Amino acid sequence: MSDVSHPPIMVRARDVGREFAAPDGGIVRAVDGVSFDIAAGEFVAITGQSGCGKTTLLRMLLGLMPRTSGLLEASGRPVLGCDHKRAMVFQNAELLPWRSALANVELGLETKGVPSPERKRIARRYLELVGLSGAEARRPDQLSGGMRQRVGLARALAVDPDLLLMDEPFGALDAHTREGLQAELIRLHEQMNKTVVFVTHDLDEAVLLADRVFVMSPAGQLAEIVAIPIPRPRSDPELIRTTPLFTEKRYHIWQTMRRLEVASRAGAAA
Amino acid sequence: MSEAPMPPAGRAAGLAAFLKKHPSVLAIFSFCLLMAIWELAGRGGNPLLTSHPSAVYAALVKQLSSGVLVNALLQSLQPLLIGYGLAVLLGVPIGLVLGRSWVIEKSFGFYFVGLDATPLVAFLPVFILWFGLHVLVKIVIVFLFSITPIVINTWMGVKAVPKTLVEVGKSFVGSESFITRKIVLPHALPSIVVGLRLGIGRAIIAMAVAELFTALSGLGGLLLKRSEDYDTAGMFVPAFVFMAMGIIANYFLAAMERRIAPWHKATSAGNE
Repeated sequence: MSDVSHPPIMVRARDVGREFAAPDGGIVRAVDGVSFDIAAGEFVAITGQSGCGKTTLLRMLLGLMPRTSGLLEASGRPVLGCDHKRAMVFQNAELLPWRSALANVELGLETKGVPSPERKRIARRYLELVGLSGAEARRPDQLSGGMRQRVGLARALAVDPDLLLMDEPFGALDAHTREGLQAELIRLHEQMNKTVVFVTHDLDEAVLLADRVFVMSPAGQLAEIVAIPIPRPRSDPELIRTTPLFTEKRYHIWQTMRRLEVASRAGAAA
Repeated sequence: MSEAPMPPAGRAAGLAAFLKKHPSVLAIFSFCLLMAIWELAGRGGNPLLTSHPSAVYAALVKQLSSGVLVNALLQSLQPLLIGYGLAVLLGVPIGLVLGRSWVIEKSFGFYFVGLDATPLVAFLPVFILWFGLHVLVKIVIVFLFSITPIVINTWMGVKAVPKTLVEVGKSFVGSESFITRKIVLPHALPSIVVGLRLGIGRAIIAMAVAELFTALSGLGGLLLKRSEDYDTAGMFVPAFVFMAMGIIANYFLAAMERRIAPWHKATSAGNE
């Protein structure tokens, strides 16, 4: 398939919006008229200020939250609810505290109806893939924050989804652990060729990981799409961080966000 | 462990470490002390009005050898176990449904809150009219006393399940039944066990109350008979059996909790 010049489209969004009823009786538009395509195998980072609707957009992509307007397709079919073709890595891992690491990874395989011995075999393989082969029997309270997030990643990958959705998965980790997991995620993405949509407010992380960065405005619109032409494999994140391309893209996104913030404040004042 | 070992701080630290290892020593010490005080204080008193441990012990031996105590215990255990068993079998599912469906919660939840606060003792005469002076009335009373803490604690435990964990289940396409069985129920388990522990305490009280009220039989009946005979020491024997039942039942439920929810102890802070 490597000779195909245009990979198939994995996600197609047209004018997608989400409105909420505000406490004062009005309507809040969390996501407003967002349109984009994501190609199979692509890594997209969504960034923006807190409250810009990036997590809402991710939840709509997953099928956990219904959209109130627009067209949203994934794997060639309209998103109408959750599906084994899409899996989420949650912000704080959200593992089941009474289950071992292995049993946590089995969760999605259970709902998929995979029989137990097969399930254990697959779960073991994915734990190994995220570097946790020795920790299978440990419960989440016996794992570090970084290890818990690795289990969360293995749990999502184990159902073999087309689309991997990640909601600020490394936001709560210390810098050292975060950098380790970023490198790991780059390796896994390049090796497995999954489509990834990754929400983060960390610009460094967005530029380092993504092929394209979607910048959302405080009003929930997709303000700008920034392509990150850093070549793959990105096997040395530390070196990449020092390149002019990296710093230029990072600065460009920072400026965009700054501009959006100023505009939104001016809009609110007017 | 990164901390350096604590330097030995003499005999006090050694004793603290010993007690930490054998905490039952504290309970035994406290019990012996109480008994000694009671013995000293009660010995000189009028045996009609008061008693003391050695007299109670003598009465215990008498009631055991005549078989009257064992007989009463068996008569009490039957309605206790049936009534409490029914309360568990019905209470846990009711609590689960109340916690999962807000329509059912708003429609029926307040009945259980109300029942929990009702002085059911006041209804005993009515229950006797309805169910007769029979073992059935004891079962009904035990059931009604013990079901509310089980329902309410299960219900609250279900409500306390984090929304995000339920979303994890939904995101992996889990059905409502899958989410209830594999996520909600295990998460609520520690709270359910608290309900079971409160429930068994209430069940024992209910049994005692029912037997005292109806003078039917069992430990409560025995207690009543001893008190009518002005046998104060003999009256203490079934009273202590009630206490012992409560302690033993709680011990077993606590052990069960440690077995079924070891993760809960690890993540919650207790006293040192």
